[in-house]
Amino acid sequence: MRFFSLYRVELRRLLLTKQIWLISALCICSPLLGYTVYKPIIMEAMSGLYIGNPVLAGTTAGAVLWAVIAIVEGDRQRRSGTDILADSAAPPTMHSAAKTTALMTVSTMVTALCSLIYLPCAAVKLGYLFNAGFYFAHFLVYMLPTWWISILFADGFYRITRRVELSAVLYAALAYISFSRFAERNWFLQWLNPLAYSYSDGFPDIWFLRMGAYTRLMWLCISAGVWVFSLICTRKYQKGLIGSFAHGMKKVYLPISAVALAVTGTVLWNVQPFVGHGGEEFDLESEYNFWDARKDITNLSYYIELNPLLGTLSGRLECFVPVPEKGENVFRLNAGYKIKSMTFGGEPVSFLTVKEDINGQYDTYFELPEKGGQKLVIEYGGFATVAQCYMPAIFKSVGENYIFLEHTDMVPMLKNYGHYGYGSRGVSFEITLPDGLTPFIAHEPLTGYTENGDGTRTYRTTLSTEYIYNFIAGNYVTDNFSSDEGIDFRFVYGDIYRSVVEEYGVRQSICDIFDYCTKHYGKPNSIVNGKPFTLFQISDIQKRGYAIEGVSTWFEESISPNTLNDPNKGATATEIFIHEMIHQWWGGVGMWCDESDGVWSAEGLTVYSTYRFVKEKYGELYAKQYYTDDWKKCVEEQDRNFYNRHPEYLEKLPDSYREQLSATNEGVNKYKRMPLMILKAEELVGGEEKMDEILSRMYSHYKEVGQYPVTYKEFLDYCGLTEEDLRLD
Amino acid sequence: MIKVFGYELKRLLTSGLFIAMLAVNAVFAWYILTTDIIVGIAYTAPFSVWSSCAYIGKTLPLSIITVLLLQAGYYGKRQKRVEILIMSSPITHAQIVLIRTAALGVCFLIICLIQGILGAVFFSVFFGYNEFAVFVIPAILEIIPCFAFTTGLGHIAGRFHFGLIYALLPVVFIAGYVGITGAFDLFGGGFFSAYPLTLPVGASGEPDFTVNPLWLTARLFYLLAGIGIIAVNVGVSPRIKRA
Repeated sequence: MRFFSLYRVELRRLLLTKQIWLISALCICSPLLGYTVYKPIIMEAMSGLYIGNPVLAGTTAGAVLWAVIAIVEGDRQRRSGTDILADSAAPPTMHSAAKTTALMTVSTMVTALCSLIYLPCAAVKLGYLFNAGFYFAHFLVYMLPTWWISILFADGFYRITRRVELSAVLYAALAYISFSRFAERNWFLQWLNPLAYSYSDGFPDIWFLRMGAYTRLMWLCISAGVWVFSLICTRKYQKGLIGSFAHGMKKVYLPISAVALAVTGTVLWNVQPFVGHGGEEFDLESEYNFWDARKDITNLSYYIELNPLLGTLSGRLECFVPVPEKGENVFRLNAGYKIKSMTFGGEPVSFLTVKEDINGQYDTYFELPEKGGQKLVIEYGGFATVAQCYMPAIFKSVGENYIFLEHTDMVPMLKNYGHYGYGSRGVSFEITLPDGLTPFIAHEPLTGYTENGDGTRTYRTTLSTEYIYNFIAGNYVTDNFSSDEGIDFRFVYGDIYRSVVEEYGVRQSICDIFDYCTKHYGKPNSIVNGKPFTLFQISDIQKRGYAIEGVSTWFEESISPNTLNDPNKGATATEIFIHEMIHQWWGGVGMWCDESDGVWSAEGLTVYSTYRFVKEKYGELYAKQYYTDDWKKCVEEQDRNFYNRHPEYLEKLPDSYREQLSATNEGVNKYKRMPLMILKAEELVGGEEKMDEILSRMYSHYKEVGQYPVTYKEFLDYCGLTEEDLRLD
Repeated sequence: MIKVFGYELKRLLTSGLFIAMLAVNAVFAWYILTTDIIVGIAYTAPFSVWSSCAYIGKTLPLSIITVLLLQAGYYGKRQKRVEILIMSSPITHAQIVLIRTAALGVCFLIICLIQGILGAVFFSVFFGYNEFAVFVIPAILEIIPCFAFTTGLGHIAGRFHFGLIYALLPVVFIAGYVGITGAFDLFGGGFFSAYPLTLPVGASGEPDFTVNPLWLTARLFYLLAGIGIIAVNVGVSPRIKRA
């Protein structure tokens, strides 16, 4: 009772304080920073621009303002010399708790007000894209908890130190960590500036909101732990820190609560299901060398059920194993999933999951009895983890509006078993998902389904292989059309972009790119006869595109109105889809390049061809500004880098820096240095036409001879040049 | 005089604020060394004079913030209560200002020394580099004018209202970390990160260290301005408000 009466008094007092009104006004203005100076969302999705950026800017700026007022309010009685009187009138610990709770209540009111003030702006700007739930969720998930966390930390620090400047320094140090380089890869350290990297309008996804809610809960526990600890340190009876602490410890519930909260926060940190704990570099070798099918399986079936509300998946694999592999068997599955059960012939099989993260996956080891001819059943489920090496591109997501999963995010990959009768009997596949989504498996539409009557549908199909390249579902439409050169296209894109596709003539642009490359290099061999070439739009939250045989993808920003309206946007969004389409000529699906020497690569050829297309379409100045000048700048920076000049010092660098430098060098070599070398070759062989002729001959020869990786030496031979000729000085 | 200086210095060095801030400065300096400097500034070696100057420039704002926090103590309400007693002693206002500036200077140099030792340990242990003599003159050119200017400003601000010293803190923070790259960059972190990029690359693969005349002029300006402001503080006695 005493607490509530103190709380009421404090709340009333705060509401009558001018400083509180000033801070509240500033907090309400702080989202404006998100429209101007603080824009953490890198993708230009409308929801990112008009919801994400303002809310995140308001979250961070407001949190600092609330911290200031928490420290000032904490010091108020001491400053005015009334602390002794106040302590004699009310128990100091309870009074402190009431003050902080009152301040948090005011911050809650300001959050509510803030969300209502910016509502019309967001609703008008987003128009039909506006989703009220999504909008208010941002304030509830990011703004309010972060403000509370900030108040708890600042108030806690003041109560422990009882010095304004010391508590400010401690708070500043903690805030600095949130923005530091440590937090650039350790996303969970970002307590003040929650991670939300990309948004999508066509395929809205709540992955970042989910992670935001989780991290806020985690930091609330930690900050509340610090705050409860500070209550123990509340000065009493004119005693110092140690005396008051000793006295505070007598209230046993306080230290227990502080420890419990801090431990809960730490545990939440350690068991977080969102980001894997593996390396920052993709382990290509382990991925390629894993599958080693020595034994056959038959009657392979996958049963998958998705829960978009929780973002979880539960699945079951069933197969018939005629002759089990002797000794240790392994399967690989997303690291976020737990194996619920495993049976062989109805009998439980013991298994061990080794928690060593390989590209966001764990290996599970098991042994099967020698007696074959039994049915193996593996049941599993959980929340799909995104590998550290992919972050912040979110390549695993199960949401109400968008689903993207790859093979081991859906089904276990058995190391030693291949499906018997590959391509003839097929693999049975069954998946249950919300009825508003259009599903694709390996970019092919799924059609046969039954309505379950609960807002879900169950799709059933037969796959020709046990490997599922990926599964995508969203609000998609499909367009079929042909280019002048006679190439058939299947263009799959988000329903909300229907008018954009019409208005900006996106179909014609696609035809132009294909016709350009076909004219210059020949018809792509990756187009499977009788099948249209598929162009597939994927969500912006994935932040990258890719190309496989007969399919090119791009992320949605490429055809968003913002991108197509921006004349200054060079060599980025729109041109990425040009790049991905040109990969049908150069790359694993086109002409395969032997990339072992570290420079010669399909990426380089693709970048060069993109540059040539862009030069023809937008002019020489544009191509120079966004392509050749950029290549030269990056190559010069690479050459000047100290560790590239003195590799003997590389071992002094921590692993993470070495990996970062290696990745940067690899990127520069492929995407900048090699195009520049081809440009030099172009000058030496006699111009663009000659180079087109050489590339066309190379491509035609490759198509005739078959699948072999083209080496750098072969390219030089075609050009009649030597390595020395193409050295960049 | 020396006795009073000793007392003032002892008061600062034994304060919890100084000890805490010294620790914060040391941690921050190590963080800068192991995240920014280790990569090499402007593509130069991590142990180049450019990188060393950038290291000092990046740690200086926090050192100056520490000095300002200590300085705020001289102008706080509690201090003002005893100011009448101090002024009634034989010591003059000018002496008091100089003694306090010197005491702050010693604290500042201790922080710089600790950061310097950390830098030396880092260069020596990580890269086996031990020729530190070349770092000394650029370091002195960087830290002394910066200290003189900001302490002078702190004295002026404190005389008007002690809260103004706190208002200087975000100004210092922003000026230090917003990325000013011109010669008038007070701290030098931005200048030494950008200026080498504009210079021709020497035989060693990186630009040779040269002192930019404009930067030198700016340092001289800051030094003289700082001394001037301190001189004004020394010369003009404040009016003591009697309770």
